Amino acid sequence: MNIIPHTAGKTRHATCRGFTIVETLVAVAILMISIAGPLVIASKGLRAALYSRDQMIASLLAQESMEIVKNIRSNNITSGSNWVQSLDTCLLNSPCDANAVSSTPIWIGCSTTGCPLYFSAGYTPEFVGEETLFRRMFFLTPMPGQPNEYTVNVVVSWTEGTVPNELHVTSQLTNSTR
Amino acid sequence: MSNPLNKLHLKRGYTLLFAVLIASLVLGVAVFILSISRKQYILSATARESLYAMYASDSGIECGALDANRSEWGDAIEAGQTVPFSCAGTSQLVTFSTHSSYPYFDVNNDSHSLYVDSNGVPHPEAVEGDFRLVFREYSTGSPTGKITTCALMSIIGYTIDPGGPDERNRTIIQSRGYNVCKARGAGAATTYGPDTSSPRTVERARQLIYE
Repeated sequence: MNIIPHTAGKTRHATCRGFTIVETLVAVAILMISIAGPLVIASKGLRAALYSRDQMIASLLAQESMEIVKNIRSNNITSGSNWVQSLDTCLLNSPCDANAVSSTPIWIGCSTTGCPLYFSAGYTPEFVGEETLFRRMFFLTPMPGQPNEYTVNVVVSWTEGTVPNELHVTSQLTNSTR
Repeated sequence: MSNPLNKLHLKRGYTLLFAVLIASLVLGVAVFILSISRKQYILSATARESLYAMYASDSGIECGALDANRSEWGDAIEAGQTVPFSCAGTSQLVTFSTHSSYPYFDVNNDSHSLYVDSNGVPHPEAVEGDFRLVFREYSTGSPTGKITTCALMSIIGYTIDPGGPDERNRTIIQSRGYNVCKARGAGAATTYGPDTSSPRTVERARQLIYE
């Protein structure tokens, strides 16, 4: 049978107690570092997810505007009107917005920073529903010496916190009967 | 008989063990969130870049369909014919040559029925003109705007049922649009084409056929 001397047991017990305090301090330090780091990573990840969502919405909003402009051009040509009728007033200093929701497809009167978009059964520049964080505008740029050709610029902008973002899509628009 | 000192030894390290376990768990959750967000970000960035490429190819089709340009090559395109082509602020000469292979892409994917004659071979009289288009920022109306996108264009023309009752000319305009472009050549001979070395480069293609 092993007999542990009293004095020796006391010494070992004291050593163990000391170790637990050190161990706890190390554990707290590890926990603090290892929780703070992942939390920062997670918050950055969530911010990136929000940015991705907004960028995807902005891409679709830009595409919607561009398609409406091309649709108006095609309707003008097939109806025998001036091919850029109601579009040629939308220029860099007086941009417009394309309105897919209402019966007025061209929304005139955007500021040079774009029209704020509202959400009511779709995104619209009309003052109905809730205001969203997106602004949108389009403007045409005449090509020098080419009366049958314009460049269409669609700009969708939004702010993530304090960071401004912008999506700028351009496409040629021509007077084509094909 | 068990040694009480050994029991004391066995209890050591539990706090550290729990700390490491919880830390691993939190880290795992964070890495999971980050990997999902990263994929979402790549997906949304690809959607954006794809939009740029799509409107580059659409611009190419707009330019190819422009009446002023189409009237230059007429309904019946002939091999050796050189025609001026103006669009997006640049003018160039397009030379048509005999076309003996299939076009770059076949949107119908049905054994190239649009491009072959009744014997299943590419139209021997087909001619093709290839050229490049570059699109710049024209928001300020300046022709020296920065390069945004570019397109590789192919115009193919041939006669269907030559000498037969259904004889007609067919024109196929193909446009392959790219979001990332770089200069090729120097000086006046500079043209712009896709930057195939960039991992961001996206290709979108469109085709217009008329008879």
